[in-house]
Amino acid sequence: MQLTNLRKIRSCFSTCQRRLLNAKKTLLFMKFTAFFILVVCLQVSARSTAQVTLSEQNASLVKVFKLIEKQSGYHFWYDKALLKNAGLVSIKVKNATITHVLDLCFSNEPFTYTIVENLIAIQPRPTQPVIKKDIDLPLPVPPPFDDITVVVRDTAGLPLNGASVRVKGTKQGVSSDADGNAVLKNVAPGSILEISFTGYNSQEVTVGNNKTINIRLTVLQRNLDDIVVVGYGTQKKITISGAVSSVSTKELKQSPVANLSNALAGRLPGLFSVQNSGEPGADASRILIRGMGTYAGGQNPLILVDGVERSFDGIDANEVESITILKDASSTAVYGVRGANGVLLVTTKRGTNAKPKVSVTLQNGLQSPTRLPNYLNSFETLSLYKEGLINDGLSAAVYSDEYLAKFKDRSNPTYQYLYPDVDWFDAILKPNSTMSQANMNVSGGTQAAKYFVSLSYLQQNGLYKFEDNIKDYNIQAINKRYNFRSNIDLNITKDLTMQLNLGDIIRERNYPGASANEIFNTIKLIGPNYYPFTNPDGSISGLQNRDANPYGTLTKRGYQRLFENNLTATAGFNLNMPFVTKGLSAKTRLSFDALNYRNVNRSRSFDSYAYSVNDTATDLTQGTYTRLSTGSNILGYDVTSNGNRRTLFEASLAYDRVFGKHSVKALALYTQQSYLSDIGGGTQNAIAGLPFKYQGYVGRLEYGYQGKLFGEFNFGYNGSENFPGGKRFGFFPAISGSYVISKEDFFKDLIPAMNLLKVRASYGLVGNDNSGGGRFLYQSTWSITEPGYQFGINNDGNGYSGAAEQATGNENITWEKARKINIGLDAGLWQDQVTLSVDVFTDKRSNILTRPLNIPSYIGISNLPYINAGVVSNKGFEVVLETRKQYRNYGYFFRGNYSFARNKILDQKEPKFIGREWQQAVNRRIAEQYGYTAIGLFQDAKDVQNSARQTFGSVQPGDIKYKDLNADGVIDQLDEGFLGPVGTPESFAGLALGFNYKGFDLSVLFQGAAGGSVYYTGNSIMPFSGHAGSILDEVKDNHWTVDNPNPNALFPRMSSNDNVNNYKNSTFWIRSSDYIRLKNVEAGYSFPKAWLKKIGFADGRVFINAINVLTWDKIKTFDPEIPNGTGNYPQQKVVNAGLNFTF
Amino acid sequence: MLFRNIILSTLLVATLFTSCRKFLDVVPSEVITSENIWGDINNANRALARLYNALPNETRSSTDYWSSTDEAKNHWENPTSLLYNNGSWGPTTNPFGNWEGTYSDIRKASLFIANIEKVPLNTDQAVFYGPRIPRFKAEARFLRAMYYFQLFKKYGAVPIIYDILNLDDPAASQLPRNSADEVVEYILKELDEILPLLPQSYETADVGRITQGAVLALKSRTLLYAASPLFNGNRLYANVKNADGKQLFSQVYDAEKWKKAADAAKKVLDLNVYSLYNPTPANPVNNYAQLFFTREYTETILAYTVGNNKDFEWDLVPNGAQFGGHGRFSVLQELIDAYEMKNGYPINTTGSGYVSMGTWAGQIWDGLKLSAVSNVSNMYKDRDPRFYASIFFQHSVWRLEKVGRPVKLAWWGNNNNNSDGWPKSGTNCESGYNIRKWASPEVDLKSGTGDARRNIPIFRLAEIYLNYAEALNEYLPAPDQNVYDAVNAVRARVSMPALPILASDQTKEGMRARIRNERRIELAFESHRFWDVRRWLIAKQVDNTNVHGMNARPTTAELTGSGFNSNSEEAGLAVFYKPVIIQSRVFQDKHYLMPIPKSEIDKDPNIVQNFGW
Repeated sequence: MQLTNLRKIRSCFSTCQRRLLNAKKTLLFMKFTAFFILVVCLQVSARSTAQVTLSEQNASLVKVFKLIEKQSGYHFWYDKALLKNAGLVSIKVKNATITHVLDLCFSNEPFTYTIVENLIAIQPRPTQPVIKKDIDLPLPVPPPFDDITVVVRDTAGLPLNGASVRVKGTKQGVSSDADGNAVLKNVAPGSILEISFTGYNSQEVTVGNNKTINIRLTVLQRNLDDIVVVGYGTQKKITISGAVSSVSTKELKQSPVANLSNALAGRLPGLFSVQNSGEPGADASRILIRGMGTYAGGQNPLILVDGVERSFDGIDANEVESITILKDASSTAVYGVRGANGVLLVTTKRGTNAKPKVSVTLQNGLQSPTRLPNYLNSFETLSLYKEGLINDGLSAAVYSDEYLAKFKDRSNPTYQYLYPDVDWFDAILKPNSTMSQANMNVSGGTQAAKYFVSLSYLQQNGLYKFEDNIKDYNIQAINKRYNFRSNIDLNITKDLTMQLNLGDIIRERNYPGASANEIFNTIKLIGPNYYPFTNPDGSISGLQNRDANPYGTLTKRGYQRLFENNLTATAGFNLNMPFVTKGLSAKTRLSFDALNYRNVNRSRSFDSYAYSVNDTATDLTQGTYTRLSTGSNILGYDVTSNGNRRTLFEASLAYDRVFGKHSVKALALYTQQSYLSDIGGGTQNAIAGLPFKYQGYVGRLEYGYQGKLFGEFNFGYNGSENFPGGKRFGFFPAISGSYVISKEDFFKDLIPAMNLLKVRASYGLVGNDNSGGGRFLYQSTWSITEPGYQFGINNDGNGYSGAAEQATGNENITWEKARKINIGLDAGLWQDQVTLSVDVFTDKRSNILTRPLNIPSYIGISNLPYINAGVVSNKGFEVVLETRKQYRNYGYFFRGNYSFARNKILDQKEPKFIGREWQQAVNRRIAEQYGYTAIGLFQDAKDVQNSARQTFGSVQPGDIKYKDLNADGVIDQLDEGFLGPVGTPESFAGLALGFNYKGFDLSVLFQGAAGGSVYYTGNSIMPFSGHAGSILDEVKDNHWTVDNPNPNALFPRMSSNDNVNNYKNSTFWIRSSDYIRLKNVEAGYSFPKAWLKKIGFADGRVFINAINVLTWDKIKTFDPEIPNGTGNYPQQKVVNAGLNFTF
Repeated sequence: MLFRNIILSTLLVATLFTSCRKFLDVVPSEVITSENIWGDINNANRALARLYNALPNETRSSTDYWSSTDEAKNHWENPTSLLYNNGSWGPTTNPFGNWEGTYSDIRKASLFIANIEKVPLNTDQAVFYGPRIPRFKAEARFLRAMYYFQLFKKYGAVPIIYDILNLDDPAASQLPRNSADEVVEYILKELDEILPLLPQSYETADVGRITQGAVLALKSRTLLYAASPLFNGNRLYANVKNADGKQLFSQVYDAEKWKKAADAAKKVLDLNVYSLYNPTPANPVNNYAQLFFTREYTETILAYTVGNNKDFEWDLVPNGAQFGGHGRFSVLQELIDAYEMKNGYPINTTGSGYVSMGTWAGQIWDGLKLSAVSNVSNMYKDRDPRFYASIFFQHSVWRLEKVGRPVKLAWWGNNNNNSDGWPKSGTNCESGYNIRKWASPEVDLKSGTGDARRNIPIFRLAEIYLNYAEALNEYLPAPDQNVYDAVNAVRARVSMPALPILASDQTKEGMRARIRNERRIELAFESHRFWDVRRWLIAKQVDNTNVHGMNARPTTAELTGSGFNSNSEEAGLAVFYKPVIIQSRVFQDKHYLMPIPKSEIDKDPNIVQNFGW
């Protein structure tokens, strides 16, 4: 057996050599494939990661070997004669690596070992003299080298697993085990040991006489901020001279949301977020960094997950290490033509060199709408309708008091069908729905490999009723999500590491056949009096020329099932190149993302009937049913499936070195990516279906002097396929610098309390190629599928489709340019117990894609080419103030941030609105509301007579009166103009407060926005418009009436139908969307560690948290984050409880 | 070890510099550029087809032209015509303006005209297309002239774009308006030049293209409009001048313009290519009606050709479940009253025999056959046959056997889907009349079967007769036999007695009224009236007044006052036959011509605005 094994070893070695030779040949021809082959070969010499636990007193080596064989699957190969001289071994290790154990066993033995695959060969130690082990006998001379055991603990005395202990100035190093023990072999006395652990202050200790050294590491203040993720790398916070903010996983996990984008509100200065919808699976927030800098192009920031452009909506918060936003030119210049709107970086977690840590989080939540409108009942609604009819001069004879009273009277069984009074919100929606989340992740690693693997499940249910009683299918809105992630780091050789990140998000969603939009619209429009919930026989009720029954729309329209698989994969290599020069490293990576979906739509339609019966009848079966609509009643089957894919390749060289007082970092990177969207087939999509591509170079040079002066130069030189050849690439440079005044000696005496004072400034140019207007705008194109003509005596002769100019190209088309200036200040007081950070910025965006609006139409070009002509400035500031203090048993923190950004359009190639300056967009803000200026309600006929003539239908007292801006006596489109308020808020603020006492912790987050507005508009708000029959309850006492002609009433007089005059967009309907929210609350209890340890856990915590708990605003009827109108699926309040434990 | 590291490093670094140069070259070669169009005759054909598609066709594209004048009311919610009814249209709201679209079509035509002769032809193609290319070019020039005519009748004086304008041409945004006379001159010059290049008729497969007849017909219409009071010495427009003082509208009445108009019309008549469509002379109602659901080219000079469809039927046929249409228009009583008696007397003249009270029974052509009717108001007895072909009225019949009941447009509370008017929910016929002209009896809307096979005439011979009669009557001190003959030709097709009948028919003014009325009746719902009332300067009378219908929406008091159950058919009928105001209309002097869009004046300060705007 032993000989066979030897042969195996030999053959393995030779195979290996041959493979290596082959590989070398291949290397000449291939770039990437070679790497993988190489990796396979190199793995042969890679050390094993098997772990062994032993506890033996005075055992023979042979016995120990047997035990190791049993636990690890390794086999020993040795000459028995060799072991004759071996002494007895006492050993106690837990989960130790093979090499560690063998090193311990053999430390005083005259032999050594070699590991090949799963064989351990024992050989005589050639140089070492054979010394017989004698424990009792003191050694004649103190050995020059000792094995040192370092025990690493935290300040509470708990062992730290995975701390790095290394001998300074050498490559020797080891990680501490679960008991905090790290054993270093043969350490020279007087060596300096460096002990470090993420999140703790590092320590150095000199090796003295003690073979066991106890170390207590203190927790780093603000440890997570210390290293900040920036574009294509990380930086120490102190060296940063740009404008960067980040938030960590701990805070993200406090928000029980299904969509990560909804957890950011109020957390990051400079981040503006608006959530428009709460529909499960479609509730992402819109995110802007420092507001809006352009009116034409994309305003959204570039979002990167682990350096690859990806959506982060579906990522589980447990997988996230941090989210960083890059705001100024210095930090975004590396993204060149794509950086102008800011960049949001999501970084997922990675393994550390520690034993496996398993973390499990289970939570369950209840979701309910933050707010739903209240509508009047039938009686009140019809009373107002009657008022409208009378105002309109129409006959209201039908709506007698006696008739109206029947809508409240339920004395006769027919009344609920003939005089219905249905609260449709109540009838269709449940008060709340559930959401469950579970996550398990394991992280850890050894010298050879580190890993973070995670598995999450989320189920978010919708608010619809009837999910159980529809026989054939489920109509509930359900969002099920499975997240998988595996981030692996392999040390292939001392200098070569490999990274493999795999993430997969699988979503299965279920929705009713009708869209949420349609369902909520009908719920909001159908009057309570239109028809009963169902007819007496259970059939769907209805009314001609009115929207279909919401119950029918929800339950009888079939269902949709949406399957989606979003795979993200990145593999990369990192090679340190000290053999070229110290501090140099090279990196490549290749990323492949693919999203595929298969959406099944099983739709149907339904029959509806109007039920009529004599209202004195008491027998419901006597009634008659008139068919109103005929449905198919059979489920259709329609499948949409498509996908998109993105490939990214990057290669870079980095340099990082300190020369005395000077530190230098440099980066040169090449990047290219290609993206194919999921656009459908058809020749009309041929152009849109072409891949989107980017290619470019990135450079960064950082210089630091004495840790107090820092300078940076960043640039991106990149381009996209969207611009004409020769004009595709742009150069985007930025410079920045910072000065840590507090490091100066004089400063320490000047203001001793201030431990940090730093000023920062940056200036640079960034681009935005997502400038709107479509692709390949440089091309002039014709279409040959325009409307054509058919000749022939019977319209059957020669026929042609039409050909016409489609787009006129602009050969000089280019990207938007943003010139950005940022000045910042960071201060810390009393050892960072209070910190303050302020940033002031001014951006100027030029080259904004604009249709020249000043070219007369008689030129005849139907699609005037876009030109790069618009200019917008955007200015603002951010302030973050934080204080935190941790005492022995308790601590608190306070962190407030406020962000403000205001833009101004400086040029938009408009015609001159001579005498109508209110229509000029220039000098106004982006997306200002547009419409008429309301000046109250007409008081009486005389008021109408004496006012300018309004041209939108007849006007009477109680109607909205508009301002005649051009004073021509007529209110028409020329009196429309920009009104001042903008749609998106200009200020966002967040205030987080926290307190902990022993194991208890409590934190709350208030979040607010100001400066925005919405149009309070739409059929569900404006009484009786567009066949709507539902009236908000606030209308009842707040509208103009003949008896109470309040010129400042919230609603104008009642009309029985659309009132064209009153329902124009005007200041009358603009409502401020300012709000303050108790956005987030979390209370938790962490179990005592000592107690947990007994049952085998490392950490354990139970928590309750909630999002969107309370809202204070001016709208009251709908959520303040709704878009203009009424919004659709309501935003959700979630109350959630869960537990987390690790072991 | 070192060796390996060096290889690895080299590899990594090499990738930095081996980027693919061509990586961003996804330039779409498949896009179609102007070279593709003018390099391939098949694509050039398409460019011409696009021009034909833009052939102005107001009857098809916007039936609201009818309800924007004294023919009908569109009773749907907020129709386009409401703006024109209440005078609230203007420089910022003018759906019929199409300033931008028309200039865009003009550019398209100019591009075709400039490029069509450059299209390379191979030998085979040369044989076929060689002789056709000059004709194609002439067709495009006709179409461009037609687009200019549209601008002329809407705005009067507009900039003429002689060259193809480009963006980088600074003068391109500084043009002033040309005068109305210059626009007319330009149109006429173009038409004169292309006339010899076009044929009189086409092969079966190419029927529908521009003929000499179409050129002459456009010439006739252009000259008629130019001679009309709106453009011929209209003092209202004395102050519409360019910045340099150029008068945009001639201020001197020129009678010779009428002469030219008459001559131009005569040219069409003298072609002897066209004759009035006359398929069933014995059945005058059908004889006229068929013209509007038949593809015929005896009378039609230029048509907008359309495929088989039910468009008009959906729009026009009554709204009852049995009929299945939308009955979108309420015909005005003013138009109903304009139909003469079949003896040739206007209803309000002595001897007309018109009775408004009582009912009659008899037979009416229901589209398929003569069907018995009863309880029809005497108002609808013995009228011009075109009345029966053009109007759905109370108790008239349409495809009776298929539909099962007569038209019911009077109020009927408990109608149980058995009526076509109020109080069906939604909006319904307010005047008691729907439009019947254009509806094909072959179409069964209830079952969705059958299609109408029709042309939409742009020019037809009847118009030319009336153009001729009008121009000649205006030119002469008193009508001569030529004037009577022209009008009588049109009347004869529907068996209406020949003029003169009344003494006033012998005078210029009396005959003017006759001709205008004849035009109103013959060309009803063909989008002529909207323009005619403008060029005659009578819109301020006919479109600035209350318009009427039958009492189809009575008040509760009226119904209960009838003595019948207020929801019964009897109650509705009892109060129905009485003219009531259904709309109050506004038309001011400024409305005669359309305002130049405000946005255009903002862009080009050299463009002056029309009168009153």
